[in-house]
Amino acid sequence: MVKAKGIRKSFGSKIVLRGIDLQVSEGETLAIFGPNGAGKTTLLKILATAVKPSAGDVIISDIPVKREPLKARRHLALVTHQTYLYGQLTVRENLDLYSRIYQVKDIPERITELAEKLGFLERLSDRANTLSRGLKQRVSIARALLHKPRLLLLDEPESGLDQEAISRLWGIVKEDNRTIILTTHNLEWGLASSDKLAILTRGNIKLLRETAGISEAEIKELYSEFVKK
Amino acid sequence: MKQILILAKKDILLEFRGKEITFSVLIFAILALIIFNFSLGSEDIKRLAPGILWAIFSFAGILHMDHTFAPEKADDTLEGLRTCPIAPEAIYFSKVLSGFFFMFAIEIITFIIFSVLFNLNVLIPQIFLVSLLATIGFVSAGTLFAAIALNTRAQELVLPLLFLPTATPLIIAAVTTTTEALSGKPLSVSWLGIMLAFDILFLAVSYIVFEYAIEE
Amino acid sequence: MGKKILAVLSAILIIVSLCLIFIYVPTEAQMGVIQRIFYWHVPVAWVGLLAFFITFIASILYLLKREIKWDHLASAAAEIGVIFTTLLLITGSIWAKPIWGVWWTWDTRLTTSLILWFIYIAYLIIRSYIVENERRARIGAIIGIVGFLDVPIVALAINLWPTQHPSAVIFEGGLEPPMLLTLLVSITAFTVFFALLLIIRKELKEIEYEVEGLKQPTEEE
Repeated sequence: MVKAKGIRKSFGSKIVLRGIDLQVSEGETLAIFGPNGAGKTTLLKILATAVKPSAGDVIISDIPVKREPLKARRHLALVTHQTYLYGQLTVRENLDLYSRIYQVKDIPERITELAEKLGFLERLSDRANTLSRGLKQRVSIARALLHKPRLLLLDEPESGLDQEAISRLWGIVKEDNRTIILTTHNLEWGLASSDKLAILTRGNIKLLRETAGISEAEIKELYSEFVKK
Repeated sequence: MKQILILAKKDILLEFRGKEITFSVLIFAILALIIFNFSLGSEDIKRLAPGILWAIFSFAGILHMDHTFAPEKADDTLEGLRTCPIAPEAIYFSKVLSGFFFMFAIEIITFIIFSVLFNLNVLIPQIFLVSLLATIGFVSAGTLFAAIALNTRAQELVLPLLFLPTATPLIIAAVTTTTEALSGKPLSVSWLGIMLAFDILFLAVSYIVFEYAIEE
Repeated sequence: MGKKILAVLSAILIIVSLCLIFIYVPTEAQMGVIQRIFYWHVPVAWVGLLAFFITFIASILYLLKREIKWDHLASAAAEIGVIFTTLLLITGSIWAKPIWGVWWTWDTRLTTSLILWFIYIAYLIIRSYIVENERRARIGAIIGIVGFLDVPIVALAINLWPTQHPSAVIFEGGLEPPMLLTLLVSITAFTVFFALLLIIRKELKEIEYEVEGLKQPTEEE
């Protein structure tokens, strides 16, 4: 589903990623752990084609991103702490805009369906900048799901949401056997919801394995060992 | 093409919601006219009308175009658009379209107010043609430069520093053809040609380089 | 090694050019002694344009290949180009004063050079506003391309623009052979000198870039 080969990224002389190789199969969830500044967000944005890698390429559903970025983007969505919503537009106008961009069919129905599931149906006519942080986050997830992407990239989705909201969202997000790559600080939750885990520090992947068969304590130990080094 | 319209519609809607920029720039343009009235006297203003109007439009244009990407900044929606199946050129052309819409409106209203204040009708068909060609050039260069100015220190200086020297042919051509129009002469083809060449050059070059201006 | 050869060569050529200008070439009949500035004025203009052309080409190559060396070349050429365009404006003024009686006239060539100067000053200023060097290179390349393509339109417009002063006729009926020879030697001298400056500045930029990289916190691989 997703294959990343030799991803490097430097901002001028500052090196952020030093050759990342990843592979995630259809329907799998990969959780990427790592301290601040490890390059998690940059990696996610490269996978989402928002940031160009300095070297290497990403292949999404057999589409090489470098050659056909527009085609690859039809299959993916990115959710970060930036909601990508226009504050002066209403929630409905925002979702309508993105639906048109993605050429979604039956737009009003799709918007209502997602608003209902994510619980902001009564706020559709409110301007986006009047919403609370958590609500905005939910609208942002709806925005990302409009075109039913096969790959969803989540940057620290647990921030700004409470535990109950997360588990409720998780069911919706995982629908349609969706492939998910997420970054998180929360080891416990990350382990519980993923099939694969990776530890990223200083621009390198230090560990990439199945989540099954490893205990939280072991991960914690490995994690602190890698981060310290 | 359809995407350009979708995005331009969004920009125009946002501007109507925000209401700040276009209206303020228009007020600025009228204020500038009034300052010229006091510093030159209304008789000289009539004589120098083409130069004064286009000097005002150059500065008003810079003020307006500096905000081209302002609505995208609050929630980094430009990054959001980069993950969408939209060609970077579509973002560029949508901004040119919405920018043209507002800049042209500012110019026409300023022409009307000028005609009223100084009892000199400048709102004649030839002027529409001149404004059309000049404004396309203004926004096609200005949108590219506004993208360059994004995330740069002293952002508000980038646009005038780049725009004023590069747009000199456009400003000279607009002033000359406006003078011709006001004195009832036919517009010279060579000046119209220069404006057209400027428009085409900037639209074409931006079409190619715009994606480098907004990438990360 | 190459730098040494270029340095010696440009020194010799500039001395030869000076000798030709002040000893060999006959004084022009109408303008008198001041016309001798022409033999450096033209090469300075030529080097300025050549420099901006190199910036243009190197900018395109940077966007295509994303190798920082092209940015070093582009920005080094632009810096030298700005210096030479400044010299062009100064020598032009010095020449204009005795001939036209004014330091400045909105003559086609002078005005175009002035606009050119402003475009590349903007290039250098805006680069200095951008801290991160990949972005600086990318934005610089865009300005280097757009600015250069704009120049013909600027020249065309200013040429059409009705100026108060009649456009100057420098020479009627071409140059006399000694004048042509002096001019060609001067142009060669300045071109070699320019190549030398460009190489030195580019190498300096490479060293600056390396130092900047070394200043980044070191990390184990």
